[in-house]
Amino acid sequence: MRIWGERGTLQDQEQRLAYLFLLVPVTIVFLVIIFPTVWNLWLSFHKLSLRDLRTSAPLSLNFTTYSYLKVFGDLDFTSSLIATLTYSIGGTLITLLLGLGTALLLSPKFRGRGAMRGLFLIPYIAPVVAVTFTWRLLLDPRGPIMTALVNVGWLKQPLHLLGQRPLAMTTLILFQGWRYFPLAFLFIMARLQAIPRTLYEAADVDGATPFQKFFYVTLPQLKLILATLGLLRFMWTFNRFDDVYLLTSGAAGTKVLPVLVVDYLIGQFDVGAGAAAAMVLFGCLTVLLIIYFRLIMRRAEQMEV
Amino acid sequence: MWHKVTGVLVLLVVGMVVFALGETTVTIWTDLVEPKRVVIQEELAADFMALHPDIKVEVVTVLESEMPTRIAAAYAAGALPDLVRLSLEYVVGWVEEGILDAEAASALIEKMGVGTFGAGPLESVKVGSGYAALPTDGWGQLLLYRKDLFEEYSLAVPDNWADILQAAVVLHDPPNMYGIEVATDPNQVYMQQVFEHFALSNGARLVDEAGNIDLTTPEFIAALRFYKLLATQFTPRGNIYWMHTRLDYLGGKTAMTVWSPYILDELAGLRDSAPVTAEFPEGTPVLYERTGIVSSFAGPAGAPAQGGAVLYLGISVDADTEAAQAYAEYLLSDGYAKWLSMAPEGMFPMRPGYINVWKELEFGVDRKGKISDLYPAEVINAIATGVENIDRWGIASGRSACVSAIYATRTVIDVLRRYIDGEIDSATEAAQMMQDRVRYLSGCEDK
Repeated sequence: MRIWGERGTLQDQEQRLAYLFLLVPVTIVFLVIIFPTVWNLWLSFHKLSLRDLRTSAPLSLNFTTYSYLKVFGDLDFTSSLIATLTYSIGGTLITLLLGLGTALLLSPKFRGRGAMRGLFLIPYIAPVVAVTFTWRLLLDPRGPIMTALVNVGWLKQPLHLLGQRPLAMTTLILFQGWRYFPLAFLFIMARLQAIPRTLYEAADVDGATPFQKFFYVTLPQLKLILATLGLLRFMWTFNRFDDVYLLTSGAAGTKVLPVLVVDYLIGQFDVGAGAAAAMVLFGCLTVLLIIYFRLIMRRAEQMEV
Repeated sequence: MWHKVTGVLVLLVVGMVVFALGETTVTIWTDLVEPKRVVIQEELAADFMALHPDIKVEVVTVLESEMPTRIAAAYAAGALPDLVRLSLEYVVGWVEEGILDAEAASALIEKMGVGTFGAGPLESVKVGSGYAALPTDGWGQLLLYRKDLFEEYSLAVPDNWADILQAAVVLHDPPNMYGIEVATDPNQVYMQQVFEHFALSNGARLVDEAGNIDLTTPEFIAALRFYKLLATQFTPRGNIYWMHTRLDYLGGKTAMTVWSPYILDELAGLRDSAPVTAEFPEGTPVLYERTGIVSSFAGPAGAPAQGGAVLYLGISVDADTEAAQAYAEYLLSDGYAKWLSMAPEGMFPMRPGYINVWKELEFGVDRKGKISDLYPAEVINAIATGVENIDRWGIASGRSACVSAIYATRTVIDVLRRYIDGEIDSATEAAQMMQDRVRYLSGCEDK
């Protein structure tokens, strides 16, 4: 390769052009991913309040582990971590199950199938503020659902589904399932339709029951897509903030880690602890994803081949 | 070609300079977001702009619950509004965080005359030799009770714990009538406000004599027990917050509840979105005439205490100080009557010279009425004295950064709710849990 500035051969010029083009995505990646992450890591090793953000304090080289000690020493940290795990695992499983169920229901041809499929997408596309507000009203102990249940005589006392442990977490998980199953449904349905008919015909010839067809033909074909969806949903739920905050604000045992981050940052103006909690969240997620890849993704990929 | 470019540049620069010289913009963030109140604020801005053609005022509405979040984000971005309306628990904390310009506020208060403001509201936000922000209006929390029922059963006015409890026991007859409804929804600041009122009434303050957080005092533990008693024995189950207590009081389903004076216009039937649904025989007094008001009550170990809120106008550190001061002064002088007219029942003037003007203001949403025509003098006095005596955790002892963290994280009421639900066995244990959690918040460390 020649020195920059010299024209060189056509090949050299093209190479230089290629690097130039590459500069655009690299800059973007740097600005929106690498820089914020590194900056957050940097902030998490400082003791900073909101006020310090406007001074040169964030740039100082006085590193401290204060923020991490604060996060790990927090009386709510362990319960917060458990809540996050419960919420993520429960939410992911229920989303997948509901998505799989609806996809199976809506894959045979019948009249109005298109309209049904469209209807099923509503929870996913409706604005989150509107749906959480509506659900809060519906689930209020004196709202329509509880009033009806008490009037019918199924309940003696109304339940506070969003205000009491462990009901609040269960409700959050169910809400997660309701709101995000359409995504799983779309993915699974696309995969279902790509399964060759011949496999089912062969199964029919062997005299397989519908259950056998599902467990030995359909499910193996869906493994990779289910594993991928599980991965995505788990990641997104682990970092989920808006649903939780809007439904329970973190009360009644639903203070998940992202809510803790906001508590530090906005509630206590402790920027360092907020950054450290975010890094802890990031770290937990990374570890969990590595395990997931090792245990599930790899196996699912092998099955597919 | 070059002189064309230069020409355009010169034009641009000149234009910007003219623009900059010609007009200053004052942005005000307000938590008064109801449409009719926004209209009044827009009118105030227009009136001011007519007097000061060189200043442009922009009114931006922000939900009260989102104000801290939005302010923190704006601070980090260096784009704070010039003026911001905020409640007492945040004021001093925000000066400490460098959000509010206490000097600008103090200078304006000096100019308008320190003596023209109520002493209490100014004292609460004293920082150094000045004041953190300008008090605009406030309300004292009220205990509403059914005077007619109290008379019928010859119960004493509920201005102390024993009489409150006695009345609740006698009048409790669910689901037709609940003895007293208190807040139990840990998602709502309302629960903190109501509980704090009970804690203060028993002399349970947030801090000990050394200025450190202390929630393990016998007075505080007694307040926890009493609150749990009211919440479990006389309050309907559920996440009860201001919406339920208002609904039930207006529906004649609770004998007592704690609310802000903002309920007074609904109670008088002036607001269709929150109608009075309690029915009484034709020709007998209606609900508001059957309502008694107590502005402060006392526990066995405390003196009468008054909860409530004072709202302030803060000048931010990013503000165009002179223009912001000019508009703040306008709102609190020439525009003050109009400002208070947004909701006179909950906006008591913080400048005593305006109390007579305030008494003549009309309130109500769908119908209008004069507060002094509808309610007897003792109610008006209860509102007026209530505001003057407002007491709050931590404010006078300089721990307001901690108070704002308690409010924003809702730590205390979250534990309180678990105690009410029976997840935590004893009040002592609950108090210790609160103590440990609160002391762990940034801003609440020992001095």
